[in-house]
Amino acid sequence: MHGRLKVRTSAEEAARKKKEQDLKAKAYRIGMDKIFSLRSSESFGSELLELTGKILSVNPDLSTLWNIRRECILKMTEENKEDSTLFDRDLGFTELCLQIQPKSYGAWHHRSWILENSPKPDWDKEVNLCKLYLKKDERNFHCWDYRRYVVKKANVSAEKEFEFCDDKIQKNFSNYSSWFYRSQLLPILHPHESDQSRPISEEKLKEELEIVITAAFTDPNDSSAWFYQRYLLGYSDPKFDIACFKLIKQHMIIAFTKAVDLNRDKISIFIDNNCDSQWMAISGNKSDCIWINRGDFEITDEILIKVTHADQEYSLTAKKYDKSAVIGCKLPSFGYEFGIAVKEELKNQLESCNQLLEFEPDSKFTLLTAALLMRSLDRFHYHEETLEYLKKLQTVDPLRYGYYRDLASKWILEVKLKEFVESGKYEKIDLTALDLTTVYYNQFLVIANEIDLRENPALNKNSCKFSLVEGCNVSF
Amino acid sequence: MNDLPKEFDLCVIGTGFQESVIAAAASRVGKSVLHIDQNEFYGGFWSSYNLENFMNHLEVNKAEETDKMCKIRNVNQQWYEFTDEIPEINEWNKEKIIKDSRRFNIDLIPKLNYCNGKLVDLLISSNICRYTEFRAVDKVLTARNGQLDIVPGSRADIFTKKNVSIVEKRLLMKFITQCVEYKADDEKKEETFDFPDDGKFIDLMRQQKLTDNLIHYILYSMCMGNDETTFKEGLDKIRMYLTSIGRYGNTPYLFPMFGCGEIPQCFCRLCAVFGGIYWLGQHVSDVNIIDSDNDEKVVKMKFGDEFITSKKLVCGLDSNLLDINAYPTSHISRAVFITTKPVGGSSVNSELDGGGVVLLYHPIEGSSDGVTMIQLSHFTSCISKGLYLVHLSTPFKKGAQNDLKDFVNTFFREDYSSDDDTKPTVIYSAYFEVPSSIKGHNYVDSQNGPIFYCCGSFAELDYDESIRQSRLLYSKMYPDDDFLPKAPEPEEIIIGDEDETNSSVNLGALADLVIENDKSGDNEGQETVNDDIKAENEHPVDENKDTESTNDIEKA
Repeated sequence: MHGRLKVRTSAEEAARKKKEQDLKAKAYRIGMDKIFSLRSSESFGSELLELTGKILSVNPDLSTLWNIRRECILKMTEENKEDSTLFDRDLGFTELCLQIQPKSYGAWHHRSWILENSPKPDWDKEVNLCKLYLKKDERNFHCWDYRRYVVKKANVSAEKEFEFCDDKIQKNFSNYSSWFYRSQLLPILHPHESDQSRPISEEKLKEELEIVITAAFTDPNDSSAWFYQRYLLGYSDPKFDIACFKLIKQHMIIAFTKAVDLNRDKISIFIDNNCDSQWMAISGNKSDCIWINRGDFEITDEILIKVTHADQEYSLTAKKYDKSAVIGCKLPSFGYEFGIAVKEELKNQLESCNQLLEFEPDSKFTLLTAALLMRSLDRFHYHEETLEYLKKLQTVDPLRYGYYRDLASKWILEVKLKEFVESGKYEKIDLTALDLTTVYYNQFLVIANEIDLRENPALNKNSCKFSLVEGCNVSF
Repeated sequence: MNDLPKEFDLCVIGTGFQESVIAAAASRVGKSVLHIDQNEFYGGFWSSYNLENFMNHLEVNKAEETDKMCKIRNVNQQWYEFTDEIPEINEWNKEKIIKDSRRFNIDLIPKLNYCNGKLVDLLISSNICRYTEFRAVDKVLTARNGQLDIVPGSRADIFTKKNVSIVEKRLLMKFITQCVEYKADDEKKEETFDFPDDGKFIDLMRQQKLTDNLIHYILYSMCMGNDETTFKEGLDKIRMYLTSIGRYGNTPYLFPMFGCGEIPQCFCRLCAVFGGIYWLGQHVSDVNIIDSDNDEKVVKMKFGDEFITSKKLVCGLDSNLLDINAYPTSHISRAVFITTKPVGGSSVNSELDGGGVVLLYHPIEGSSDGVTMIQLSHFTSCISKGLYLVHLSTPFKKGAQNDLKDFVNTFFREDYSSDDDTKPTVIYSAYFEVPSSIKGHNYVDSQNGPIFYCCGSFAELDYDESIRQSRLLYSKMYPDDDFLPKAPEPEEIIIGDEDETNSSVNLGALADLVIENDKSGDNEGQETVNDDIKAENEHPVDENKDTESTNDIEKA
């Protein structure tokens, strides 16, 4: 064998690995025992720091050890609160741990703890550190989170942060963290001119829509851009408001646009300036859209409802409907009303989609985008067309068959609901034979005495919460 | 040299790419290898030179000009004539540049590698990659009507590209994705392409409604093709392009730091690690095939005053032993320029330094070939900071200067104007023709040994054909041996009589804990360890618990 390399065989290598693991386990147990005995004897000092450091540098996810470490540092600095050496050294130590595990919750949290407790925190250095870690992995959400925290402390301008975000998006747009941060920065940098419920200005919105459609056309299978587009088009959570109110002799019903917990969310309901707290969630859950107050009530000509929530006041005037009910209802807002410039951009994008559909008639993302764009332009005008697109999507994308049917149910209901609310005739709403799978906007339907849902064979009855309300007759 | 063994399994003459690969492969499986080169340096035609050596090397070849096919020929070197009015260009002149000579690494045969190509695979599978370092090509350019433009190769490029409409973006992404997913025997052919293999690629793209803009990017740049490129050729190229992109950088190509001369050298190093012996500056004479004691044919050759026998001999293209008639050879037309500015000016150089490595492929009208330009900045350690090294290559037709004339006139200038930043002024130019082998020719079948001949470079961007030929030759020489199996990592190697000692176990920061504890004799900690070991032996259930805690640590 002279002059030949001797190489370990795989069996020898496995034995070596096993030995390494055994020794590691042994070392870990020795270390932990020592740490706990030092802690119970309250010997907080450099030995304890060293021991926790050794184990954490191998596995930075042990939160117990991070806690002991913090306890130890606080005790050690009790005497001299101005001395930052221990804090600075631990900052260096967390960096070592982050190199091993850049997604360690414990290490990132410990870092922020040090800075909060250190007498001389250097926030600018932290911003640069984030830059470094996001260069290594632009999707490390731990670091994005940490970045948002440190830039506030370091007073970095939103403009600068936006630039940074933009750069990351240009390099790789599959980045939820960066899109999200963008959505946080834009309302600060470009607030809407007049409407407070709209996050960003029309002009900026137009640019953003362009970017997002470019990303979506470049790689439609990347969902991050789609989610951002939905945010831009106002598909996010509806704003809190009163949906409707109905009083009959036996009870009052109030419904909100989104589910709330009256007790926890500190919402007060004033009926003709009387604050009554006898409200119960219709489903029996803590949080609900529809609330009921049972008792014996008088039918009056007009009732003023006021709701305060998060320092805002919402009001609705209910009028006597007939001899047995007082009803008030607001027309739900189904989405944003865009200005001319944005509508122009949406039209261009719709045109691009249609152009693309000529080449790829079965492209699911184009079909869905086209439908969404049409709805953003004028949901009622394009109603039939958008339903056609959803129907097509059910065949070209069978995996999401149910999703498209639910979406169609929602859009159909929006049209019906608009007719219903505008008609002012609240006795009955006819929802027969609409091929509904689920019923959205439950909270607006509770004012009807009769809801006719017959001939919807695929309907999920569990979605009909209003059937729980006495005096609301539902026929399936 | 008295202690040099007199008998070898293999002697290799020449340290070019293929010779070095064969030497490394033979040494790796335990053959005794003697590797010599007539030059005092490694690489032969595959070497990188500093500026002065480069100029001298070309001059020597010019003086020796012969009819021999395997020589560098038609050398023409020129410097810009600096005058009193223009004593320097952007602070550089001939004197200053020559003073910086040692900062140059100029290749006779510059090449790029696909990140997913054969060379990268070979370097990784054989573990030779530890000996070399690469830089990802920074950008790929293309030219239309003399205007340079950056090719949107990666998804990020396509996303940010301004002059490509969103519909085009979709078409481009869809087309290239289909190319990657395409399988010739796919049953669901209608979902990708239903197109004959020998149909023209350009027709397929038109059928897929790609715009001229996109066809240009795909066909003339990504595929380095032309209107005659077939579907199969185009598909293979584009798949190599796309599977390479994003592996190491934003473009699909790599360039070796310090020049391509590094590549044969890293194979030589592996050969030496496994016991190969190197002897540079040696000439061989009196090469004879003789019968050995046990009736095998062996090669006997004379080095200076000594005779050495070898079971097999491999000769490179630049060795004098090559039988040229049996070895069809062609040439590559080459030009090397030094400029003070990158090509294309500010329109394609957003960062002022012009990037590290830039590739531009430009088809020649009326020909199936094109000119390949590789422009290097100081980031590759091949040239001084502030200068650019430009390599032009095209298969030989009428002569280097003639073949490259149109390209040079379009993108460079010989005079100097301080206003024109789109066409850099050529300060130094060298034209020459370097020998190459012919793609598609079978170099291996007719060889029966014990003397074997290597091919030279091929007129290709990368090393794929060279590697294919090396494998063929090697399997002809050693049909029963593996070709460059993975070399062991240092930690897998047992040095001396070292046994299963703790030195082979890597505990990282935890090591101290065990050692400290062992040292501390009969304190409490020791008992714990002993108890634990006892527990391990007596209760196998506890072992599971132990592994759990181990896994915790391993998570890191």
